[in-house]
Amino acid sequence: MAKFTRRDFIKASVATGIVAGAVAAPALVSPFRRSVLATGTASAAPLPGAMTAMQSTFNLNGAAHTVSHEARTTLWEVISEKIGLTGTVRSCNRATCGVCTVVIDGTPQYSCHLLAFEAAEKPILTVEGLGTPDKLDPIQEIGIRNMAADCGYCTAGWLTVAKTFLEKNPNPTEEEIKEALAGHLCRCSAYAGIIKTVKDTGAYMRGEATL
Amino acid sequence: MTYKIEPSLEDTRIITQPMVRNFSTGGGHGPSDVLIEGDGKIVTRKWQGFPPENLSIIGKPQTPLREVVEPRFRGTAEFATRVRLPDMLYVKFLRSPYPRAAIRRLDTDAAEKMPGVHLILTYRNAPKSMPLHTELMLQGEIVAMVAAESEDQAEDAVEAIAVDYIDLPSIGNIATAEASDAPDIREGRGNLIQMPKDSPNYDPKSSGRWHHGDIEKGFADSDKVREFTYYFGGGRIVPMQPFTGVAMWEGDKLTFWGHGQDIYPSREYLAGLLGMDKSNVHYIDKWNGGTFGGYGVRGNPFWGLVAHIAKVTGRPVKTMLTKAEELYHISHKPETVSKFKVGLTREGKIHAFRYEIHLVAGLVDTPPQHVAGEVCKNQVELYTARVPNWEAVTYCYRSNTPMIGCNRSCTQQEVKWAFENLADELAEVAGLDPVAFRLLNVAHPGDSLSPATDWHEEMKKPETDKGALTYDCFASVEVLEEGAKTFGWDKRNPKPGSAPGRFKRGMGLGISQHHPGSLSYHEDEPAFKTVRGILWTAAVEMDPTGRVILRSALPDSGTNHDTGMAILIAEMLGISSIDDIKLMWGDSETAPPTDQWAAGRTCTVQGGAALIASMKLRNELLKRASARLELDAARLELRDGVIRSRGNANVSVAAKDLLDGKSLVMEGQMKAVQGRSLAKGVGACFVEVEVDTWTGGFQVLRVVYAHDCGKVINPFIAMADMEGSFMQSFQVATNSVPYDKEFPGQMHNSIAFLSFPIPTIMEFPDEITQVFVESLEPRWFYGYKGFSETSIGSVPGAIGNAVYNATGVRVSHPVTAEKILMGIKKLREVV
Repeated sequence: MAKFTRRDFIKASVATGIVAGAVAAPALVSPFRRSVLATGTASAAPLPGAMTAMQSTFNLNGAAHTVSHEARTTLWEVISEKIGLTGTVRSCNRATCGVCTVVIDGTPQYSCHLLAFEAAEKPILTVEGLGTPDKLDPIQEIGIRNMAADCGYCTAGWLTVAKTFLEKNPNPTEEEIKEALAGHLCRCSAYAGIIKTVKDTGAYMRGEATL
Repeated sequence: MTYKIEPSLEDTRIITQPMVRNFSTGGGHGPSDVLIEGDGKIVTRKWQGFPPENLSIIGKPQTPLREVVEPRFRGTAEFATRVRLPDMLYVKFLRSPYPRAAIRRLDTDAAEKMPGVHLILTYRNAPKSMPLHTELMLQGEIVAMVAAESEDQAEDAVEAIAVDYIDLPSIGNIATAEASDAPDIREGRGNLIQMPKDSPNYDPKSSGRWHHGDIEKGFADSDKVREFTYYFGGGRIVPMQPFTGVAMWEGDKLTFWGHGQDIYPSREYLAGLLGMDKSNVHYIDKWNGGTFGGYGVRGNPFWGLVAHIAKVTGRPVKTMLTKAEELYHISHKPETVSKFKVGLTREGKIHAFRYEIHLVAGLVDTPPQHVAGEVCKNQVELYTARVPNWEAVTYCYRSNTPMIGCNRSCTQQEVKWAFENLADELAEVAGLDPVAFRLLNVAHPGDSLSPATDWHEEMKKPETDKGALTYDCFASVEVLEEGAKTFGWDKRNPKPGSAPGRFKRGMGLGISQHHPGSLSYHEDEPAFKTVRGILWTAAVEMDPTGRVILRSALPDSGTNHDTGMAILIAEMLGISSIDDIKLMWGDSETAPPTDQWAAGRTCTVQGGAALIASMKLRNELLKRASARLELDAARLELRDGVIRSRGNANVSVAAKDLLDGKSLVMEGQMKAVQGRSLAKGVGACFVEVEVDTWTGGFQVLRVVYAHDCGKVINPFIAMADMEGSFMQSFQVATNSVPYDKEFPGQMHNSIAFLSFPIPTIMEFPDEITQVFVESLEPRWFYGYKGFSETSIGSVPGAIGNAVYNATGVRVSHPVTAEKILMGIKKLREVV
């Protein structure tokens, strides 16, 4: 049976220069890729080979971490397995569920399907960036009071996204909340609790609700 | 105007039934303080002496225990996937792509030389206690395991393994199982799995037969006789957490982080596979990202092999399965065909009922639950308790498909999809409203199950009276009537598909009978000594500071049952806040042995054990206080660690001052059986859908989900749990196992959640209301019983019936837009 993997794509794209060429067709390239590759000149640097050893510095919740990795290593693996911020977990590893989401420069990204080197130097918010060891972030406390998690496996993925969303849209409608979080699957289906959490956290941020 | 954010019950309705009710039989809800049951006249104190009244903490909405829930929100809950150890290796798998195959050639030479590879296991070097095979019986069966420094390197090596297979004939669905040229996959013993020859339900031509009365005479005496056939395409749940195992050795001692519904059984299982003393296995599973009955101690060896690889390489080892791989290990709901022949009286009562189910069960060798009465218990019983003539026959085949079993409960939608479509079609034949039809025909409290040829195995209970058992704590009428009322069922359009316009709305319902958890016997009851069941133990301790500790060797899969248990012991011990209770859980070194939870055994069984332990603790503390204060224990009360005289609050002693500076530990035991007496539960689901007749697509707009639930321990968590139950069952209704049509048994799982879509937040209904009918189980403490699995089977039928009411189209399972559209076109004769 044919098997097409992320590694095959990288090998192929380097060989044929597909990605470099795709800069000319921005719709096919993620906003993140554009920000990395767009240098203002007509030609962009080619991607490294899949197993090229690299060393990059990652900005996680304001702290710098320098790690060695391969060009093909995903951001998820760097964050969780190499650096040890294990709050960000992985589920499908196919960019279909949102469990591994982190917020990069204000944009949610599936860390399982982002090459680590693409995220180097960019400010990344993970669940560890919420609250302090002594005090939960309001969205976390409100999530507890609204039963926004049963098993909690999907929780780290949507919490940072919801918080970022509310910073941009502090008084969302229920429809806007659902659309903002449509990229996150919750098997336990704590969706009602999640929606209420975002609503209540917005109200809290606007001074209309208390804890 | 600000509001306070706190747990809200605005989407629930709680109806508490009277403690004394006039239908009582066998002393169930009679006025007496005792129940006297069975031929042996067993005496049970009502509510075990703890009635559901004047409760201080049970029944209040509570967030989960902080030490369990906060880590979920902080990202520190120790899922096995979060375990990260120095010098850890990662394991990836080579798996058979065929439902049945033989390995013709397997060459790992090139793979072994690849960067980062430490060990490759195949049939050649796997230990004898955990063999890998050359004849492969399942798509996804393990061919090789590669341990390497990173997942990428392990995957590279897997790709470099040279392997050739011989594709063998296989059984992948009911059609191939029943074909005249079906291949033999059971070494000549026949693929039809049958009850033992000495069983009263043995039938030479089927898997088993259960019957009562005279079915042919019943049909002859009926006013109308109809036949129906329904298809269910199979189903599976898939938790968010990948199925994971992490193994680490320190000398001869193994620490294993697992993923399932138990601690001690997995520990014993690993020790057995590895040939070691179980006291050298430390098994940990505190939090996990869902199991839903699909993972557990089930005989697949790969955890043992992970531990073996860790031992041989001298490094800790982690493996996280991909979503595609999990589907080979997790239990599935079977593909089923259900055939009915039903005779009705003129009034619409069922007079004769014949049920036949066909299914493929995976690599089974003995009758699974689905054959051995389980498929017939519950929903057949629900519709035949009042029927004098009935018969149920099962045809269950061994197949090259994943094992069937629990998917957030067992023998549910795969059976009840058919029954709930049937009930609506019978209602139409009888000219009755679907709610009215069910009210007329389903079991009511007071109905007895007759003995002899039917569920005789089930009848062998201490409470069996002249061979019969009787429904008593069973809110079938209320879940229907109150559910219908809450839902606004009277506004339903009685003529299916007749509403004008492009978007058509419809209402439908389903009902489901199931076990009410495993109501069992505690150590002070006579039946504890005589019934066959597994022992469960919990410990409750007061430490020298007066702090209460609950020790329970069970994982929390999002079940939050530990919070339920904490509430129960808080009620018993007079503790006002459950966060004053310390929980030691999910670890074989911190709590006494207990079994695996399933079948609603958390609060009912482990919670029962915890209650007994806390009762013993309370009694001992009162005894010591009685001696210290020179007052009768009956005149003392315990609240928040202080024991006071009821008559004079100034006369008191702190509980911690009675401990002599030592911890006081009590253990409580239960013997888990599949329910005492005729313990049953029932639930109903009412759904309103809107169908876009241009596309066939539909939305669930509103849901009312009604449950027969004893006394609800914590309505807040119960509400969240039932919302999850509905959505998961909605997913089962709308998709099935993606078997290839041309190559049955070959699954397309590789695109993770695109291969098996689960509902997103967009599909969540605008309104979902829980109706909790508190039926107050009289045999148990505080009147509680389990209801985690009670109602889930009712949902797909409700959705199918609602689609029919909206459009006049009845589709087979799964309910999809394409089928609905096809049906609409056919109705309009525009195909």
